Amino acid sequence: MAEIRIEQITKRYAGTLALDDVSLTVHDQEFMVLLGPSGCGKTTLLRLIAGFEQPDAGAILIDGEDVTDVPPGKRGLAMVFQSYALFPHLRVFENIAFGLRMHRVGGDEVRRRVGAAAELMQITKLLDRYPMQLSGGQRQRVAVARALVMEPAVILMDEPLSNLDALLRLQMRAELKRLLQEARTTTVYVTHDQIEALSMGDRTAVMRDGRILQVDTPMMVYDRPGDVFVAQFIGTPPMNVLRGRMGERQVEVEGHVLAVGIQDGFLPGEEVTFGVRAESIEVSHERGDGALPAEVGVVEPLGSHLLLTLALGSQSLKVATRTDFQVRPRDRVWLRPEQGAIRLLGRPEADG
Amino acid sequence: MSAAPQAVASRARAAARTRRVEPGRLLLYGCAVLITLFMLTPVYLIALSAFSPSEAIFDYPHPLVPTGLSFDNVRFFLTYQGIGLALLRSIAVGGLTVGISLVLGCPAGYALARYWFRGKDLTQLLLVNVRAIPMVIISIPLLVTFIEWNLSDTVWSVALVHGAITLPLTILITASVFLRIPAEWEEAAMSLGTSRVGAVLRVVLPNSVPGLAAAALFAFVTSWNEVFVAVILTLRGPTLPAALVQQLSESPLQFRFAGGLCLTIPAFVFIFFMRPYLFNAFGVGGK
Repeated sequence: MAEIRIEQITKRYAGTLALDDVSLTVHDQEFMVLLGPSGCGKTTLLRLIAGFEQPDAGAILIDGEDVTDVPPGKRGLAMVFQSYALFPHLRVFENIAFGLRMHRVGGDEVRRRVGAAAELMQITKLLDRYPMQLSGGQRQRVAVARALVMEPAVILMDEPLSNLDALLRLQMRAELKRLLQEARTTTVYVTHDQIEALSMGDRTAVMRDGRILQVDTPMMVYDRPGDVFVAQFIGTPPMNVLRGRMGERQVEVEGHVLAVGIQDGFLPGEEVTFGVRAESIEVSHERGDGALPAEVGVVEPLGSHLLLTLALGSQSLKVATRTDFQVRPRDRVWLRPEQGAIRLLGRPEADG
Repeated sequence: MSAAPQAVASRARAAARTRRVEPGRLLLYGCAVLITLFMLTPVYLIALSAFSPSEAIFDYPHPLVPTGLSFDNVRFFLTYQGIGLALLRSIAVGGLTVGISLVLGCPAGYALARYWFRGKDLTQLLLVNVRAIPMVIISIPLLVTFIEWNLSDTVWSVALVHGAITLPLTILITASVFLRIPAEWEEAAMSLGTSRVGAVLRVVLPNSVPGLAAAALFAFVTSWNEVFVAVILTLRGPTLPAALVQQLSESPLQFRFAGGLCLTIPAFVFIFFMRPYLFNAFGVGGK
């Protein structure tokens, strides 16, 4: 039962601005993902919520209470670290029990709650081991159990899956999502992996250079990115970003005209950048109505689909199509974006 | 056609590999034995003479195996006026020195490891330079000060100076020990409801035991072997090395051997008890 409100937080490290006037509200029981490249400030923001760092300006409120000056242990939150940060001198049982012992929970209840958390994470058989005797995946489970056993109102996770191998990461991703849904806690989850952000979060805050660029549901962030950076950071392949000239409810690109339903505040004649997802473009050998000619550069069969890299005039874009589409490099094909697939992103000079 | 020679060649290579491992291992053990001999031979010779009957000392050529066992020398040494007390004093001074340098050194080392503060680099540099001040120069002012404080000729006065001598290196050792403890362990402990001090006591210190044992060992042995300060600051209540220095030059050879042995043994005993902590890491080896 906890809502986190971050109000106009600024944080500097030795002169460099790590967080620049950041505000964000995480609703009660929401799974919020902080997503961004390394150095974007996402971990700093998490550490500020945890209380390991103090902001230079701004406030952090949990359930309406200003906790900016409250020490980490008294904020009613638990954290899972990227390195797991298990205590090597304690057995798994005592690692999980550590927080309960610090809160002077009685022996019987400690045993009951540690037992329950261990069962939930399927590590009951490991309770007598030392962390050094565990595999990476097992340590990860202990770290999560140590956080869950506190029944915290808020769980903070700092890239918890990044040290696992690919297959394990896939399993843990789904398992963590289910566990946190059942625990009904508010979760703030830091990652640089856009697939984790899309698959796990209720909402995603995309960050760059100490600012939050966009906060939205995964599908909105994916489908309606607010700017070029978000468009190109999320999705595999990233969204195609093209330049054109704005018309009346249409964009002119490389001498051809594409319809866009809305004007989005751009004036006719303005230079614009716009995005379109690789899977939102139909590709065909026949010239259709309003189709754009393009030349095939690279053909990559990816199993589930075929990824084409195409040249549209002087600009390049990627298109996903069916695996049975017969095409070779240097072929001429015709492109037709699906209706409503064009996203106006901004003016070219503003994006560099 | 080429498969057979290849197999032969690879088998030969494998054999060569196992053969090549052997000399390396031999060399390693050889070095270990040599170093051990280098350290133990003088101790053995001292022990040999210390436990031989008094007359055997002057045998020539000197036998390398005991010709007879006698505790006379050692008993004589230990019961010699003041020696037993000097031994106890040395142990007390060593213990106090360990206490002083760890109690003051751990927090200082922690501060160096975890915090940035103005003048940190200078502090570290000055710490090492404390050792460069010659004891000869400050010994008289120290003596005068201790007389004023009514501490002169006590175990405390020697321990305080020994503590000052060992403290800089203790601080640097503990700082490097704490640097190797990830800050995330402390943060994890703090997020689970303890204070920074609690996190240090419950997580950092238990995981620093090997390094702290090394620091304690260093402080104890330094204090145990220290002669100059002990001689200057004590008169009627000398530590063992001070007592030996005062008396050995005028004593018979047997007495010197017995004294040498008694000076060596406690340091060995201390190291013996510290050894498990030096090498034991949790979860591996040992238990």
